[in-house]
Amino acid sequence: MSELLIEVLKAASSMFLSALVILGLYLYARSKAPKNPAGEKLKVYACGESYPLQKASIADANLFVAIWKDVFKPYYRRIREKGHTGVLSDWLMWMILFLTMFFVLLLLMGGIP
Amino acid sequence: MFPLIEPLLLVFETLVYPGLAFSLIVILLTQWYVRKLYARMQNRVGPLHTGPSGLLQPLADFLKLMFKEDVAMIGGGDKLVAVLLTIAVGSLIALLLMTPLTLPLRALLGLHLVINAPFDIILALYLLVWPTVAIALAGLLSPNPFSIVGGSRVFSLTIAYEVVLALSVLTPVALISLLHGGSYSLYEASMLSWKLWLHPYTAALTSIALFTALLGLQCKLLEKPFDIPEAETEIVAGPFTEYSGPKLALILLLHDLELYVGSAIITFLFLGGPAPFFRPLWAAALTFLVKYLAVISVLTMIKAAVARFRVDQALGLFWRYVLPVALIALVLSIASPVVAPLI
Repeated sequence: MSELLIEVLKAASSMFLSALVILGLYLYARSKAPKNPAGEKLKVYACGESYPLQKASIADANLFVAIWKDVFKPYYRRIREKGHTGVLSDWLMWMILFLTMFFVLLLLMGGIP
Repeated sequence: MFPLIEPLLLVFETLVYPGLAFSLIVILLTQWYVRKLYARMQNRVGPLHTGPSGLLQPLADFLKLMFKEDVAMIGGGDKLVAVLLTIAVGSLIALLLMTPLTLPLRALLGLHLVINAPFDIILALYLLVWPTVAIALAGLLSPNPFSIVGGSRVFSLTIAYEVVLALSVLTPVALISLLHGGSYSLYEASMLSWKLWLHPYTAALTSIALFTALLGLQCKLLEKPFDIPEAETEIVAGPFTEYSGPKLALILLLHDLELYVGSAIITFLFLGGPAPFFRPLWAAALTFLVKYLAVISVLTMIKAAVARFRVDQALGLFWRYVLPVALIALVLSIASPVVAPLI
């Protein structure tokens, strides 16, 4: 275990050392480049028109899960339609079912010592 | 336990060989080879004028970008993006130090201790994730709808190829660990992977894992047909839309380094590295180079030959077909009752 810990430390040292060198190179190049870009260059443009900063974002619901939900819809649609009814007794049925499965699994694995 | 030579050697390995300096040379030459091959497949000549046969063109492009104006948009991440990208570059350099590429230097110094530990494959997989996170966050830190959509597409694709890449990389590592009493170490698996081609059962599993790993790497590199996050016709350049000058140079450096490190790991883990010529050193280096260029050529030919998938098609392809194949290969690899009699 200590071998792995030492390797993690070595990898981290190497990672940050090379990151520092590249960052130094970036800052040096930046200092030599033309400075202070201004005006139109700093504004957001989309489709050829200036775009307000407040609108230049996307709802978080569309950011991460929208694509997954769309792609995997055929897989979870049936369970969702049949199981996710919103009826309280259905919800209770699922809870009891999963709790029973959990206890059966626990018993099969030898129970709690 | 931790003699003075070790920290000094670690610094040298990080900065010179096989770290930054060596990697920069390799990625510039690799980029020249990729551009030439890609151009030939499109009936063009590729880089021609800068240096002999255009050999210095990638370096000229990198330097040109590095010393251009660095535009930081209002409301966007400025230095934070640069820090993220440099950490991602650092993670790949650290990963290189875990491969047998460090061996020639250590053998020269009479040191036989290399950086490896039991179960360090977990560390290797963790280090491989950093570039993806950096690219996606660079997109999300940019105040532009195209960049944000690009960043979100990178994250969406992550659940497709990162899982496949991890399963594929684990297959030869698990096989080596079961057959040779190894300990799920990247270095040990790299040194012994050539033995997997000696038996039909392990050779078949390694071939399947190699195929899925190549697909995973192609998607990780955001190359065709998986260049969905930077689809020009839909979202300009995706996460990179607002970046120019030195930040764009860092992004391109990260991409090229990812290509080099990913291909080198595939060469070591699936193709046996320098096997069958371990000695002399020049023969080992030449054999490794041929195999490395073969991997690069396959990736470039796929890039030149196919069109872009839609994001749902790419996710569907990975989860319906590639992931089950990679999973079956891994399960068959760790099914020790089947593998053990092969020892």
